Amino acid sequence: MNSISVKNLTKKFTTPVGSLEILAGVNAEVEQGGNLAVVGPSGSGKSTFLHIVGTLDHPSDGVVSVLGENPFELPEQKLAEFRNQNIGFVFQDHHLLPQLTASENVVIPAVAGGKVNEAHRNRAASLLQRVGLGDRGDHRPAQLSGGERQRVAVARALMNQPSILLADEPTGSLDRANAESIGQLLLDLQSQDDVTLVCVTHNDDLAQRFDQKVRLEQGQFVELK
Amino acid sequence: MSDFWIAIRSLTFHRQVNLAIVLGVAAATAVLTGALIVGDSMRGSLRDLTLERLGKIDLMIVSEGFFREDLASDLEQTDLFRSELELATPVIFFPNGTVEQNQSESTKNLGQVTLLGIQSTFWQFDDHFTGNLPDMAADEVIINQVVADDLGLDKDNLDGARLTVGVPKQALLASDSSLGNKKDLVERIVDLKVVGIVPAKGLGRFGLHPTQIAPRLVYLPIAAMQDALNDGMLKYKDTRQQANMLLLATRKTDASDTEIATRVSQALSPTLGDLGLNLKHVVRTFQDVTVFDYFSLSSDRLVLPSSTADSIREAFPNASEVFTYLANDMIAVKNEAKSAGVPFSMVSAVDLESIALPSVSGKSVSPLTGNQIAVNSWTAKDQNLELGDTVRLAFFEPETTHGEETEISHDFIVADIVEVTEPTEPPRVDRRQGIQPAVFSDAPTRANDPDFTPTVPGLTDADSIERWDLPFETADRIRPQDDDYWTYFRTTPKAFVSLDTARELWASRFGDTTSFQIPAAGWDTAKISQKLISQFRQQNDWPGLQVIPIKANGLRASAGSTPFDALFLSLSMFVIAAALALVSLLFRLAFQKRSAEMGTLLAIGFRQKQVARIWMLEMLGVCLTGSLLGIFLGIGYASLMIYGLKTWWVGAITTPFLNMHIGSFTLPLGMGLGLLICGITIGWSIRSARKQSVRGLLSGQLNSISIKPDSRLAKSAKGIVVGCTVLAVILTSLAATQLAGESQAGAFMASGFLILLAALIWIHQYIARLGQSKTQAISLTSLATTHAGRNPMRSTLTIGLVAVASFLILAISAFRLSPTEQGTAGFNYLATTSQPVFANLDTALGQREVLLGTDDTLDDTSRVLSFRFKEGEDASCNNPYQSSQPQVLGVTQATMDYFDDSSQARFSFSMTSGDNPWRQLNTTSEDGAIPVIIDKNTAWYSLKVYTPGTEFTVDFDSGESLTFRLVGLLNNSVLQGMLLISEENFTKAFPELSGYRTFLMKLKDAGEVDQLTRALSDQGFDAQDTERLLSGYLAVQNTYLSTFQSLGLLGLLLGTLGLAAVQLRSILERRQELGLMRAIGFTKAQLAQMIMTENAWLLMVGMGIGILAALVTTFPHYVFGDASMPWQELLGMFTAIAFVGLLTTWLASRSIFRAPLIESLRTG
Repeated sequence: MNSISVKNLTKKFTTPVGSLEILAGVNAEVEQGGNLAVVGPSGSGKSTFLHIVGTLDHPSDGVVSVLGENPFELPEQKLAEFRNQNIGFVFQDHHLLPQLTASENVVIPAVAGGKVNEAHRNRAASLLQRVGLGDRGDHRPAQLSGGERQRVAVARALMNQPSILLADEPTGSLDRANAESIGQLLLDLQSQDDVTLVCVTHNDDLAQRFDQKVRLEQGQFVELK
Repeated sequence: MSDFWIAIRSLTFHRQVNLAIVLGVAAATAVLTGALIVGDSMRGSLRDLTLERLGKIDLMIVSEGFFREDLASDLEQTDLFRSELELATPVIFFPNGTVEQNQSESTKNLGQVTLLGIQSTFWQFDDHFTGNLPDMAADEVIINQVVADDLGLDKDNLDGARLTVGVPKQALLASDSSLGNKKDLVERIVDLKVVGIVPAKGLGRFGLHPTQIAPRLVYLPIAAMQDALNDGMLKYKDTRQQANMLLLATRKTDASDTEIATRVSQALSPTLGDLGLNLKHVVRTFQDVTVFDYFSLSSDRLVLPSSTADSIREAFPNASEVFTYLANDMIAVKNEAKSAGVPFSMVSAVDLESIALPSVSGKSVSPLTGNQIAVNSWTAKDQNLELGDTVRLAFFEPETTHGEETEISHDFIVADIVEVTEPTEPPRVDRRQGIQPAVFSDAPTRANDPDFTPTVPGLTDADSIERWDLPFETADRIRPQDDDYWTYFRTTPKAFVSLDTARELWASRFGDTTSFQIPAAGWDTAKISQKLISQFRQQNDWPGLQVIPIKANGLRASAGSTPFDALFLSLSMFVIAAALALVSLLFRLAFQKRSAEMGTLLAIGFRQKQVARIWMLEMLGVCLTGSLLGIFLGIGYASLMIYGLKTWWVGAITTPFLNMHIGSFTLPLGMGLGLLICGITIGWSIRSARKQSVRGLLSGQLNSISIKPDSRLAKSAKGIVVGCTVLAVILTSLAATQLAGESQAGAFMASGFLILLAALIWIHQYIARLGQSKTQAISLTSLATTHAGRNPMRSTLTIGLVAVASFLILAISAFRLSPTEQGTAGFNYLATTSQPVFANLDTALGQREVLLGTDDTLDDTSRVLSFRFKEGEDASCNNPYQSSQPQVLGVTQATMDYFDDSSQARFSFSMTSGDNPWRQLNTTSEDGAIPVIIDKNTAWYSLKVYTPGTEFTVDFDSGESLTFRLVGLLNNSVLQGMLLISEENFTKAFPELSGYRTFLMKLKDAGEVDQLTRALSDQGFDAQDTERLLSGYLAVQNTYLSTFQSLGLLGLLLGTLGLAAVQLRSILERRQELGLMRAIGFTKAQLAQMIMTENAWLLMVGMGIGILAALVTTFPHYVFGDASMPWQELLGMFTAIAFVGLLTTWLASRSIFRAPLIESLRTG
């Protein structure tokens, strides 16, 4: 079964000078547990594609199916629940809440679903362990390096055991070593947890490690070998 | 971990940003709380003053005349006193005394002095009483600090300080009645030694009317005052052991003072004498045969007041009514050319069906009708009258104007001749036992009764007619036989007429019955007294006696004429608005800084509502902290306002009497209101933020909150702008021409805000277009203005703050008032007297009478309009107490005639029809409401009467309950604080008040004022310059406007802080952009100039919009109303605002020089 299925996805923006079509009939399918890397020049619409798949943005046209259903038919509350339970995000900027510790940042997605219990806390600790920050749970973002913050962000994305992990330039702000490490971490976690991973990146080295690779050109996907 | 927990963590983590919002919330709460505290303080201080001026006095019993001091001890013997009352003391109270201090070089006169004849127990009512006041001997007085200050006396140096006190004499007859005295109405108690000065607090400011102004008080021993009054020539009763006021203190039980007042009224046991009534057993026997035997019930004041007469009729239905009047002359018309008539005869009107008078024909005189008269046999003989002859009676009209008696005559036809028997020995006048009856050898008749005429001291007890104490000469008309008649018959009527005819001719506002004759059978004095007293008690209406819950009334009045909390809330409105705008701005800045945080939460599955809740929880903490801080700041703010009202703005409350009071609920209420409005402001901002996309939030690239170009609102913006403008013009025109009071103020403000709204919508659209337009020629200026368009809502908010402040300052300035000729009608002095003046000061005759010299008159061009005056509360804006019994002026026909002349300067009226609106006072209405003209400020703000045609009722303590119908509103006149009714209605409503006590004067120079002041010093003549007086009244409004403007400036200061915050945030946001500009060669000075230009543009546009709105709104008020613009002040004010705004902008732009702009390119 396809985890993500996109057919003829179109996205237009209104600008003062007229309508701008970013995505012009994108088609893509990613199986459950599979992975997809999307590359392309800046402004080509990679992040827009990712945000639509992640239900943060709405398509102008086309059919988007996530885990077998059209999430855009859901009301706002249900959509948020859907995202919370099924999708994890990793951004270029970690977007950790500066007021919370690393482990609190990891557990945050559970808060969205209700009260946090001991199991949530244990899972957060375990995730931090898995991303190599088992001893940094009480540290605030300001006390962590850029790579460490991004690891915390990855751990946070996995908190609610999502079926889909979406990464938007996850290594864009990192040095080469950290970028390498984070990229591998994402792929490892994807395979270990049977998660569908879609990653938007400029990093060709990272993209080469994905099973499916596409380039977004002129609003459409071009498959890369 | 929970939403709450995240909120708490955020609250503390972002404490720096949150602290700024806390301060904004605190400012808004402080202003709200402060305004509430000012209201509390005003009410509390007025209440304190009431409690202080009355001490323990809760109730008082006042009398139009005098009653026995023993009324107090009688009351003390009652169960009611033991259970409900604590103290009682009799007082003689005269609010209209005068004081004169003779010094070696000069004489100082004070009018409007309250004289108090007291016993030492008086001071037991004073909570401040220290017990060290000296007991006063008969020739000693104590004065209060106000009198001491006015006379320049020092309490440590009273040696030789001596005063003469002018006490109004207690005359038998109202001075306006034909027999009433018009001159020498003041008894002077000379050479009184000042032995003490009481401070102007506690009973040192005792008074009946609620006012914040301390009165002039002089305390005399009650016995000395009783003796002085008793020595007066015009006394109508023995005033020894008498008082005219009884002060009572209650025991503070559960019963209200009003309830206790009713019980006291029921428990009173006055004698008929205490009620001004005389009961006399009149019996005449001859050789053991009773000729007549009845009880005569009459009044101390000659004529029985109508209400008392009604009660007597009800209690004694069988009593016969008598109305006796003095005929100046009675002559047979047939003899008119040949001989003199009978002078000064008593003519009685009686009901001949109940009083059988013997006719010379041997029968009883038949009931008389119309012009029929029955003369007695002595008169018939003197005038050679026969049945059918015409008799001409000359008499004075029962009421006088300006003290001028008018003699008129009426012809009667002799219908019968009443038999009287000539006594063999005349009655004897015994000073101790009264008049002893005449002795007869032949049987006297029913008509041989001098008691048809009630006892009139000074008249009925005089030895001869020429010694009558009357305001006109009698001697030159008396013939020997007239003296004989007086000697033998005294006040025996010489003629009788019907009651109906007598009342038609002689009834007056004082009444139409002089006595009731109650047949003696079955009655005695005690029974009649008891029956009548029971009747009055049952009706709970003692003639002339009132029990007044003075403290309860005073406390009710201390609620104030103006809701000061609402007033100061509205005065502080802009500060509150500025604080809220600041809160909103600061929140938006905080939100912008943390937008990615919100985007993250949404991205990981938080619902929008949940994120909003987290923010709300956090902001609740911020608001709670801010509002808690705000209530403490509010106390400080209120202290500042109160200090202001006691110093800079003292004109608003006349005297600095305010002290801080904080009500039990004020602080929680202030905090709650602060919390509520800040919560709503922030909630609205959060709600607006929900429209941001998650992507935008995550990237920090927020859409500016503005009206979308393609939104329905944007498309209809033009229509909204036009609609708002049209509605504003309609509202402001209505406010200027049709509306009144709060609705006028509301319409004015609403129209102003509509204009502002229209202008701000338009400017928002313009700014939004600026942000999207292509720059034609790139320059620092165009970059600056274009940048303003990048965040249209923020720019509009900034412009709005400045515009609202500018609007308020300018619009409010337009309503500053200066004295005008229409406010004084060209009269340069307004004078009042403590005692009435009867002479017509507008005529040479009256002026000569007053100025005591045949050549002494005022200049031909000088005019003096006299007004009758009823004491009451000052209902002008100078008195913050709620006025329930305002002063009343009686406007003479001469005054109305004067204003017929359109070439004269005249008072300006609002919403009043007619070329001479004073004529409206003569109109009548079906319900009998009295037409009244009131100054607009007094009507609207004190009495809450807004439009002509409105009726309202005033219950006077003196017993009258009158309904008035507003027929005219004076514009900002010198006649503020009083009700103006026609003289005719005045004399009907207040029959007991005689003469004129208020004078509107157009005098040639100050010398004429001095002349009048000297001549009328006994009457306590006090003239004030009308322009200064009017300035004082207008100062109240002007001071409130100043207060509003001061607070507006404070708001503008907050606004400039907001502007500075926006600028700093803007620089922070644009660090990279500015860094780039630096990198490509712009100097820091150029960047500072660009920033400054942008903000100066916002400031100037804001001021421009504010000024435009003010001009549009006030324009109709120029045309129809009172608006006038102090351009010079305004120019200064706006220059100051521009300077402060530009300075703030400059200081903010200076931060460019400190910002590491180039580094920001690296850090991103």
